[in-house]
This record gives sequence, C-alpha cells and structure tokens, in this order.
Amino acid sequence: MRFLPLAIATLLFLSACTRPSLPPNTLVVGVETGPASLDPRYATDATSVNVCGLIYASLMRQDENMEQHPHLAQSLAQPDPLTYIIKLRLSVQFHNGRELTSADVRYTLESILHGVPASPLKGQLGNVASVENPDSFTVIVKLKEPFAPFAGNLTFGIVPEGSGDLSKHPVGAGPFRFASYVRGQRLALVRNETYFEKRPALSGVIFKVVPDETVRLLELKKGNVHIVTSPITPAVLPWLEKQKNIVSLKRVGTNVSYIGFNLRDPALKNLRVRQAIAHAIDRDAIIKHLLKNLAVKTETIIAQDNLFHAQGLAQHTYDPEMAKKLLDEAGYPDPGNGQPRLTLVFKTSKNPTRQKLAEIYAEQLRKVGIQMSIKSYEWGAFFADIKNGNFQLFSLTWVGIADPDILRFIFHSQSPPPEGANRGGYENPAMDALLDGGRREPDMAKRKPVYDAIQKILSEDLPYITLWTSVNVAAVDKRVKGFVVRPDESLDSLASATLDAESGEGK
Amino acid sequence: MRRFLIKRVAGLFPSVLGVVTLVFLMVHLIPGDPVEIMLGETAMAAQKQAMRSELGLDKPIAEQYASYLSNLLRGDLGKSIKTGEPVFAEIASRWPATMELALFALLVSWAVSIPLGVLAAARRGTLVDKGSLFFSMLGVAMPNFWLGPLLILVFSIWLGWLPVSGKDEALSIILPGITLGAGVAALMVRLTRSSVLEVISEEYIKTARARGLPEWQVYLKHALSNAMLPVVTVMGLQLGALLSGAVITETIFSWPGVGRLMIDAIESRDYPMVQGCVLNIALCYVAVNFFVDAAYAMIDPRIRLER
Repeated sequence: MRFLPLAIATLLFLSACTRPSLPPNTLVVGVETGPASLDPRYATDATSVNVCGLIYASLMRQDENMEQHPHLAQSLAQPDPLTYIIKLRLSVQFHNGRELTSADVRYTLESILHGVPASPLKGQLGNVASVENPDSFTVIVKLKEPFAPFAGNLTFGIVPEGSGDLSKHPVGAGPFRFASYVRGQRLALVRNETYFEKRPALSGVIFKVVPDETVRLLELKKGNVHIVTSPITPAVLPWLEKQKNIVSLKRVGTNVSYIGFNLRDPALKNLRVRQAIAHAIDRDAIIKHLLKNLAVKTETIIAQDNLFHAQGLAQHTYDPEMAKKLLDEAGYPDPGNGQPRLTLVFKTSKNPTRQKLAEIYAEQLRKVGIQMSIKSYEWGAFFADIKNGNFQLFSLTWVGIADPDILRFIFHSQSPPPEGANRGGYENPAMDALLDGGRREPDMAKRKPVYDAIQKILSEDLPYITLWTSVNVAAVDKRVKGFVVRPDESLDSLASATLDAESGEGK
Repeated sequence: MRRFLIKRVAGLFPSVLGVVTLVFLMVHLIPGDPVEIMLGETAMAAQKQAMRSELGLDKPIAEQYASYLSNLLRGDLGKSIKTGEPVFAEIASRWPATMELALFALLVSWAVSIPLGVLAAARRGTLVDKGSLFFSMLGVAMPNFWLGPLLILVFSIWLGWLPVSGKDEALSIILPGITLGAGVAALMVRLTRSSVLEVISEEYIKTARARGLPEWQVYLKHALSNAMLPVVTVMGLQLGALLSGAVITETIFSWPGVGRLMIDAIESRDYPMVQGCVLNIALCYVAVNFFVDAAYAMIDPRIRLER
C-alpha cells in the first residue's frame, strides 16, 4: 500500500509529460473510419471523398447551396450538345511544385475512362468519344451521345499526368497537402502555401479515427477533437446541446430515405394498396419523436436544396381512414374478428434505427388492417436480396444525390439490377421517354420542367414512398469559426475555417 | 519429453488445416459481394466484371481454395481487396498493439484478482468475501461497451487524468487494459478463492501453522504457491481469449489492433483480410494451448506418459 501514492504520482507525471503536442492552429476532425483510398479516382466512402476534396482541386466545384462553379476550369463552353471546351486557370501548381496543365486533366479523364482497375466514376462521364488538349490550358471532350449531367459531374480531383497509384501518397492542387497517414489511426494534412485560391487559415487538418460514436463525442467534449460530423445518433442531440464548449450545426442534406415496393407482387402492384400504405405511415410523428427532427418530410428523392427539386407534388399525409378506404377499394375489405386485410413482409438491415423504424411502420400499418412482419438481415445478405428482387417491401436511403439523372438509374424500365437500380420492376413508357429526354437536354431551363414532370409522375405512381430527407449535423467545438455544414456533407469549408487559440475544454 | 512434443506439434496440423478450410468456406458462402461494396451501387456491370476477374473471384470456388492453400504454404495470405496491402504485413503491423493490450489486461487482472482472491479465502464469510463476490459478479456482468465509456467519463472527462482514446501516449493503455481485464479479473477472483480454500485444509498448512508462522506467511508462502497451479493454467488460456476478444475494447478506445482490422474487413467483405484475421486468432489459440500442454507435461510427468 505504501507504493500507492508513488504510483499515482508517477501516473500524473507521465500524463503531464507524454501528451502529444498538436502543431498550433491544427484542426482535428473525428471520423468513424479512416479513408480507404486517397486517390480521387477510386475514393467512394465518405471519409475518402471528403479528404480528397481537401487535397485535390477539381474542374468544377459545388458550393454550399449545391450550385456548380468553375474551380480549376476558368470557363466551360458547350458549342454543341456533344462537345465541351474547358479552359483552365493559369499558374496553378500541384503540391510537388509542377504546373497543372491540360495534359493532367486529359490524363485524369482518360485514366477514369480506361484505367485498370476500373474507376467507380466511369459511369458519371457518360459515353466519351475523345479527350483532346490542343494547347496547355484547353481541354476538349467529345461525347458519343448527349449527356446533360457531364459538366456537373466534373467535381472529382485532377491528378498529375503519369501518376500511378495515388492511394497512399496523394499529390493534388487543393488547399491542403498530404503529410502522413497511419492507417486506422490518423491522417494528417498541412496547408498548401501555394494554393491558387485564398490560402487556408488553418495550418493543418488531422482526421482522427475514433470508431465508437460515444467516444468520438467525448473526445470532442474533452477538446481533443474539434469537429464530429454525421452520422450522429438523434438520441445524443439533447446531451450535445447542453455542452458549453460544443455547438451543433444543422443543414438539410441530400440523403433521402424511402420504402421500396416490389411491383411484381400481386398486392403491391395495385396503386391503391401503395397509396394506402403511404397514408398509413405517420411520418410527422416519427420525425419528431424518433428522429428528433433530424429529418424533413419529402415527396421526392431530389433533395430540397437541389435546383431540380420539384414543387406541387402529390402529398401523402397521415390519414388512416383514407388508407382503410383505399384498401376497401383495392379489394382488401376488413374480414372482421381482428383478422388482417393483407399480410406483407418488410426487409431491413440490422441497423438499430432501421429496425426500430420497421417496428413503427408495422404498428402503424396494423392500425389500418395490414399485418407486416419484419425480417432483418446483416447488411451484405439484406442488400443481396434487394438486388435480386427478393422482397415485398424494404427501406433504404439514397445517399448524396446531385444530378437528377440518377432517377433514370432507379426508375427506367431498362435499368434493372445488377446494372441498374430499378429493383421493384417499375415500368412506365412515359417515364422512360422523359428520363431519356432529361439526360439529353443540355439547356438547364428546358431540363428543369422535364424533371418536374418526372417527379410529379413518381409521386402519383408511387413506386417508392419517399419518406424524408435527413438533416446533416456537425458537432463543432466553439473555437472553430467559419465551418459550414453542407448538404453534401463535404468539408470544403475547412479551407476557410479558423481555430481560436484559447482553451475550450468544457468541464 | 521430446517425443511428446513432436507428437503434439504433429497434431496441430490437422486442426490448423481444418480452421483454414472452414474459414475459407464460411467467408465465401455468406451473402454479400466485395466488388459491389467497393465499387458502389452506380458502377457499371463491365467494371464489376473486370474487378472480379482481377481478384480471381470469377473462378470456381475449388480453384480459389486450391490457390489460397498453395499461397498459404508459401506464407502468402494474399492482398487486401480494400486497400491493396499484403494481408500478412497489415496483420503483422497491428499485431503488437493487440499483444500489448492483451498482456497488459492480463497483468491488470492478475494484480487485482490474486490479492482479492486470497483475501476473500482468508476472510471467508466476512464482508470482504462478500465484497469480492459482488466485485466478480459485477465484472462478469458488465459489458465492455458500457464499462469502457464509463471509465472514459470518469478518468478522462471528469478527472482529466488519462487520455480518452487512441494510442498516442504512454498512458493510453490503462483504460482499455482495465476494460479488457475486468472480466478476466472477476473470473480469476473466484477461482483463486476456491483454489486457496482447497489447499488451506491440507496437512502442510496445519504444519506451517503449528510451526507458529504468522497467518500472512501461511497464506502467501504456503497456500498461494500451491493454489496457483490451476490459476496459472486458466490464465494462460484466458490470454487466447484476450487476444481474440479485444474487438469491442479496441473499437471503443480506437486501439489500432487486429480486432478492429477484422471488423472493418468483415463489413467490406474483404475476403483475404477476414481469412487472415481469423487464421491469426485460430493460431493464437493453438499456440497457447500447445504451450499450456507443454508446461503441464513439464510440471507433471504423468501427462507425457499417457499414450
């Protein structure tokens, strides 16, 4: 026992002298997993995409209101529907000091189109016929067929010509330069002193991997981490709001949750049954009580901040009486004796929030006479079933929808799995024609009404019940200024954020 | 003794081969496609096919198994589908952290359970004994995912003594070590107590007492050294469990060990990595069992005489 005071003293001494000192003015972001790839051509997970957004510069960039602006491009002209002429900014340097020219842009595009292994971005470029660079600062891309989303999709990072695998030692022209990465622990970036736009105020950004959400938020409270972004469990919001050193920032995002129907099913191919289900689900109550207002009700999967978001769609308000009436009309009358009118199976993943939601849907549907049993599976198994069309009802979320051409992927009759995502077997010739037209229309003013019409048809045909758009939350240390939560959850605003020096430890 | 050891080592191969085969089959038979998960939903069919053939996933499963085995014999565990790194190198780089944590947890459980167990035996039926019972019930019942954050809240947030998570400081190991060791300590307290109680009624203890030795010497010198045999054996086996069971603790404390590597690999259906991690766990168990057997044979000659 006489060693106890000595042991405690040693402990305190060690704790005082071994704390690693962070370089001053360096901001720490707490993330669930580290980036899988630092090569923008292969980055798919959220952390990789966000980190690449800081390391690399892109031809076009999306601002906080989801509008596209030229970034590395100085101008982007489209003399005819198949040709894009991109003029580059002058005197932009990569982090290795080399000037960024049209050869680098051409190389990046060609390696996305023909690279091995295949880049997941390939589909976003459409059917490219050729990429040419007649001079050092001009790139001409010719398409085989009109593809309206092309310009808006040029938001991936440009890599230096001839660079092979950049996944470990990335070189870009973005606001921050790669410093080090200890896989599974931390990734360090430092300011790019020669950045072609305003030099960042922060001297560096560290992505610290803390897989457990509770611990991530405790690190934030302790002041070791400055920003924690979505996903944040709605239930911890009240705790977050009580913390003196933390502010929670919110912004309606682009992730839309929906219930998908299998339209090959004899019951579900009846529109009235689908309408009845839509009217039986009380979304307002779910959003308020379970999701703690971290979601906004919607009738379309094009998020509300998107320029293509349509107004005046068919509304599916909570109305159990209407649901019962619709079921009567559909040929599913109440058999009495507490027997269900209809039995259905709902598939979901093991995610606890999703399971809880499924139970609520089941209870709400029970009130209108539909008995819905829930089957939950581990993600891989669940997703395989959905892709194979082996379901009646399921719920999922579309993540980060920007260009409405995604609707073609989801609802065109020629887009079934595995290539497409028309998993429910929705078929509507008028819809197909509109989707094909929307993809080919280069003029924004003419394109918008096409997608308005598409969204209107979808809200009436109900191949999906679009439930809500999730609200992005970031829990931020009050010392951080100028950080903005964006609909697409990008961390681009770190390039202009600052960090006050005074201690913000909230005890 | 040598013959015994050779026989034991030879007996290891079938169990290792069995594990390798089972793991291979299980990983390939569970639904979910690594290519789908990696390329994302919007990738085109041709891209997916290209990636599948690049990874050899389009070959018949028997062929994949044969090439997996032959690579394994050459010490090649393959490359991670997700990161492209050699699996062996990734596991080897994470392995020391897991080992460090498991050993520290074992040390913690030792330091707590042996004194408490002896004390409980010596003060049988008293408040101390009941207290130790309460402690061990608590230790066994308390899940790591609850104990971990609780310790962080008290020692890192309120008291500010220890780091919250990560492995950046010398003190970083203390909280995960206690979290991981608590369950083992709880178990060992009961084992030590009953083991000491068993020997305390032996003749040699009576002799020691008759010689007029003070009670603490009777317990620590005579009773404990004899009571330790089963305790040490079980501790050895617990090391195997600690090495493989650190998954939750590693996740909570952002400890960069093999457990977390495995969880990430399972989520992304990174076949070679999952196989490597499970093989690693199996080998840990096999090795620990072997050493325990060998130690037993060394201590007790009757064991190696058995045919």
